[in-house]
Amino acid sequence: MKHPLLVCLLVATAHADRADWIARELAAVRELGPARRVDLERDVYEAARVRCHTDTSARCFADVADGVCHGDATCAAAADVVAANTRAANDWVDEATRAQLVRGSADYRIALAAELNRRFGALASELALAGGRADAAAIDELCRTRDRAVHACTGDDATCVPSLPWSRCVSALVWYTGSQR
Amino acid sequence: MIGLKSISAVVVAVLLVAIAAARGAFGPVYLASLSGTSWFVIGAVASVGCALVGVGWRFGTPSRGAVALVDRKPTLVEEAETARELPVGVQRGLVLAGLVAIALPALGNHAAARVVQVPDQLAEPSPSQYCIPKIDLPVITAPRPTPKATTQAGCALVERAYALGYAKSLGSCAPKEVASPTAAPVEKHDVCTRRGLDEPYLHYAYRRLADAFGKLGSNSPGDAIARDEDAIRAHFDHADDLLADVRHAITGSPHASHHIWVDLPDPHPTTLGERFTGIPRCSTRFADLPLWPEVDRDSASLRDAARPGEAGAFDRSRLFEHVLGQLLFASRFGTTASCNDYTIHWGAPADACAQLAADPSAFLARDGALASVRAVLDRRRRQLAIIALDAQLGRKPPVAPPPVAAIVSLQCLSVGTAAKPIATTATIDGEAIAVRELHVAQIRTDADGPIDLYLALAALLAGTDLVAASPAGALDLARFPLTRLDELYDLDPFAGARWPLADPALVAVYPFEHHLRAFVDAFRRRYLPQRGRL
Repeated sequence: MKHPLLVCLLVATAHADRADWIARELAAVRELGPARRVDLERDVYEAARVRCHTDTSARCFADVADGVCHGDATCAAAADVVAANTRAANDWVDEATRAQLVRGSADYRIALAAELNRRFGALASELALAGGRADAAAIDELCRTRDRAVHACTGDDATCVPSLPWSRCVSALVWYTGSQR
Repeated sequence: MIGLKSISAVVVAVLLVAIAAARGAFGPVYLASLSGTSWFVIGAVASVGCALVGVGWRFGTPSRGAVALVDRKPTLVEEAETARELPVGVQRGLVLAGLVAIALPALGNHAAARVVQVPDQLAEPSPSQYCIPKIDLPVITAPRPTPKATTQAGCALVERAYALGYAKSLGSCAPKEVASPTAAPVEKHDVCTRRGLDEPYLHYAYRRLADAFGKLGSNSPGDAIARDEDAIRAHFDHADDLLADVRHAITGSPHASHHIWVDLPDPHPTTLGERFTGIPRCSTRFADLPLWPEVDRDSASLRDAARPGEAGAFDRSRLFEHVLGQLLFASRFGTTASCNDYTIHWGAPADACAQLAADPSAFLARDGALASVRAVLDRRRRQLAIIALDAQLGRKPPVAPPPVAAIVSLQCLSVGTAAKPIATTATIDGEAIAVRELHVAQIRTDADGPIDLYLALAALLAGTDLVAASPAGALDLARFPLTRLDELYDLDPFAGARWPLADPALVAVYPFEHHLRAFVDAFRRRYLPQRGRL
């Protein structure tokens, strides 16, 4: 790392790689269509519930995504987004809200998905307010720089999106913007 | 020619009677309803009024002016000696009629009764001077409606299952217990110290006198005076402490004094302009710290001018300042320390703490730290003296000041040769002050170098453990990159997982906020309770 030019080169390459991933996964989510998105979401959720109940590592969720898609590249790209969102669900929705969802709905998974979608929407509105289009570069830029500001959210404010790791921010935005018409 | 007084009497009488008539004062019903008392009061008020008006009117004296008809036009004539006047009795009667007309609507039965009661009310004892016994009337309160248990949202199915015997308990859907009615607050009776209705005046005067000396009843005024004399004597004995305490408050002497010596150059050497305008406040400098150090790699000229031949010295100084700021003063991580209480002594010798332990006062005086340390120690000593004074006088003392170790501390960080932390004490003005010293091998500004500095400063300030780096790992980002990158959320660099920080691609998306927040929060939970302010 002593050579600044080498560092710059590596950073530029990494930036291009990230934009490629995001663009590919955004396209995959759009290509799936509403019905398959719902199916994929359900399949990943159910498989993760069974396989990653005790092992909550990222590797387990990646294996779940791999197992659900059976080699389909488009499905795998979209499943990556769903798996990342599923792993982060408990951090997105606090315990009190989840308890309310359990008590107040017939199907917890659907209620949780709706709640997550609502919060992803709040994040997407940040993207819109930042002036970025819903493309890979804008999503990458927002998620990379978002934590520089302080996001002090109170527990009961569902419209306030707290500090987020880049991967969770990107997966939320890709799923939300990819699901819009 | 008709005299002006006669004309005025007629006009006043007609005007007042017209007003009273317009207000219904001459209505038969109203007149019939007036009591004898009212008629008496009206008559008395009108008579007194007429007598008072008569003093100025002078009914017996003819008018000096008059109104005459000249060419069929009314004209005012002065010094009219031949003017015709109404008889004195008629003038007086007209004025009296006007006053009666005004008094009629104003002094009805209710007003007359209030006027009659005035002498009795004046004779009653005033509540501001006497203790008036309170008459307690019975209070009738309406019974509270019993709240009904309501079905909670989403619990209908659970309740139904419980009713049918499919569930053994209602769980969280069980009806909430109705809060028991709170007991009525005990009524507080104030002790009345005013004069009793049947209290002799001399007894009341004695009570007031004893009260003025602070003792009610049990002690004699002589004892009270002796006690006050003791109190004044104690205040004189503690006059130095009381005045010093006031001086500390007025001059704004420091509430705590913490000093850190580091053998790195000052990253903000005072400029010529700052010598006139003053250096920026520390709160401004630490107000908006970036999340991860953004070391200025292009400040070569500044670096070389300050310390030729020592490349990176300024970067390391800025990194040190950044890490210290994040640990202690960054408000994004919650409760902070007060930066005014902290002083960084840049460019310190490598053996600063050894010199400090050898001759504390001389070393502190040389670096300009002795005055603030002494001021804090003196402030604390005065506060303890005032607490002793309060105890002597039987007053409730203020909160005791924190121990010396919490308000004064001395630390040294030396870069060059790694060594274990050393803790000693230095004695200043008879007080033992904690001195902590840490030697680190180097300060690296790249890759995971800042983590080393975070851990070193946390160890120096709060005595936390230094954690070594764990073996390098890798993330396979070829497939499922988002899910795999989520693993960074679990890899805590402060617990040893530092290898991602060596990869620029991972650093760009690294969840610094998450890990920093956890580390700074844990550090402050340990460090801030060790510190205090006067």
